Amino acid sequence: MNAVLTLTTDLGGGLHDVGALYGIVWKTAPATRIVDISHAIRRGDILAAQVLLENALPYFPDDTVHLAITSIADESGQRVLIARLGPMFFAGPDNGLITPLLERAEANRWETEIYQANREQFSQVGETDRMLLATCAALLAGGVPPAALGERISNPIRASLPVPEMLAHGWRGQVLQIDVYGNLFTNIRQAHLEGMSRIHLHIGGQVIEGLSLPAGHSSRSKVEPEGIFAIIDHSNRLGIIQTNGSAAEQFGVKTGASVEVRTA
Amino acid sequence: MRLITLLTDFGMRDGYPGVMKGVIYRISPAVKIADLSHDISPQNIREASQVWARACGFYPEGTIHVGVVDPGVGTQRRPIAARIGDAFFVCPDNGLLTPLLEEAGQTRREIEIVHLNQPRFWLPQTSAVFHGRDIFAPVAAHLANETPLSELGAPIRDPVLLQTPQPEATENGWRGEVTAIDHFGNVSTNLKQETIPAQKVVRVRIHGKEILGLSQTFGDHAAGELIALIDSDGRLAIAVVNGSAAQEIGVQIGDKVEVETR
Repeated sequence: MNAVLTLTTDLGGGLHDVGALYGIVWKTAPATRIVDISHAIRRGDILAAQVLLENALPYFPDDTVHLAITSIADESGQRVLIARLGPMFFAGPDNGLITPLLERAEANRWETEIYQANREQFSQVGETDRMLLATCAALLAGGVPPAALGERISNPIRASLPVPEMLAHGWRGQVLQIDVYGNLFTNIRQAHLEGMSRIHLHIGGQVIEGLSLPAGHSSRSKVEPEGIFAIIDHSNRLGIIQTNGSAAEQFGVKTGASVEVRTA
Repeated sequence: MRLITLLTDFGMRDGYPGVMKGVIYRISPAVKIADLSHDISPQNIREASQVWARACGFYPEGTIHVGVVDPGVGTQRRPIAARIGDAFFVCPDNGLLTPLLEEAGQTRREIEIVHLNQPRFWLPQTSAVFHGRDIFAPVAAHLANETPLSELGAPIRDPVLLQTPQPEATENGWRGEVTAIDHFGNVSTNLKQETIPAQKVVRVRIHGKEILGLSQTFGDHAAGELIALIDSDGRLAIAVVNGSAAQEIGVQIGDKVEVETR
């Protein structure tokens, strides 16, 4: 079985931790194809990890194992989860990271099975929870059913992404993610904007008039080639981009900044 | 099994290269993927084109190279795919292929380029800001599945080409320019060893500094010494032993370098 296994962690790229994860996975399931989603999540930033996972999930093949590691407090007694959620598998700490997969499974009415890893069963794999997680993920990738790895549970911790607040003439949301180019991605989705006309977007004390590019339009040729645009982005969220520049710098905003969309 | 390489300016923080790999594995599960680099400076097409020019020749026949440095994403710039000799390329039509096309022209290798205008080989919904995921990754995966280039788009003969600086002959040698600065601060130029055979180089001048002759390698000199040598790509390079030449002499890409030959 040549399963795909993704890694989404806050381990950083400078130390040996990520390389060690690769080793643990390949020791157990040598044919696994490992894909790094990110290791640059700010330590313990569960929300950032959730955003990246949510963006990535639809694009991976069935049977992909998603291993997520943030806020691991080794020897804290935190539960280690292993799960099957429809065609996806998950391994990660029980701190809310599983939420995007759960929500995707629920939206698609997929069956889910969630287990708490049996630590006694894995007492030989190493001292840390991340070793336990990597071993469990590798076993899943190798075709071992999650039921063989622990006890079934029904109460994983959930930590949903913040949802926009409805206003009299629009929505108040927030910046969820700022990417390497300084593009801003918010929690306001295309569905929130349906029926709204003559949109004004308020952010960082400035106003952007109109949505330059609704979802499904693959070319912005009819708008100015340079400038700042409010768009429906690659993950169907309201995004703000600046051509050849950083919208984050332009508006002086950080993750969590308020964004309001109003009709004129 | 086919091999796909990825070259982008995405960095590894935001998950973009990972998502491209997911798309590729969905369409072509048996393919092998190599990361050439995701650390190209944002929107720096010239830098990416140089990385391709230096690296692609080391890959096996039939390798598919995907390049996404794409400041024009979502505008009318064309997405393209190309076969140059025995290698395939998938990228925006913004000049990324320039050095490879120039070299292919000099060595008379076959060139075939298509404008990717067949959406049935893309993801069903394409965004305006992530063609790496929505167009280039799926097209590369279809190429890996042996879809002929000719089915992916219409032939074109006018790809966008960058203006590439050419070395000029001077009264007593050659004048070239800095084309790349690597992770160590080593400075590479557009002067190739065919132009300036090592035994003929008397003096190299750059940013007011003067270096006598060429060295074989870094270890021949003391730490901190400024040297000139022919690098692993056969080009004149300037380096500081155990240091950064770029920082030491404050050069940038595009700065002039002069070589006096005998």
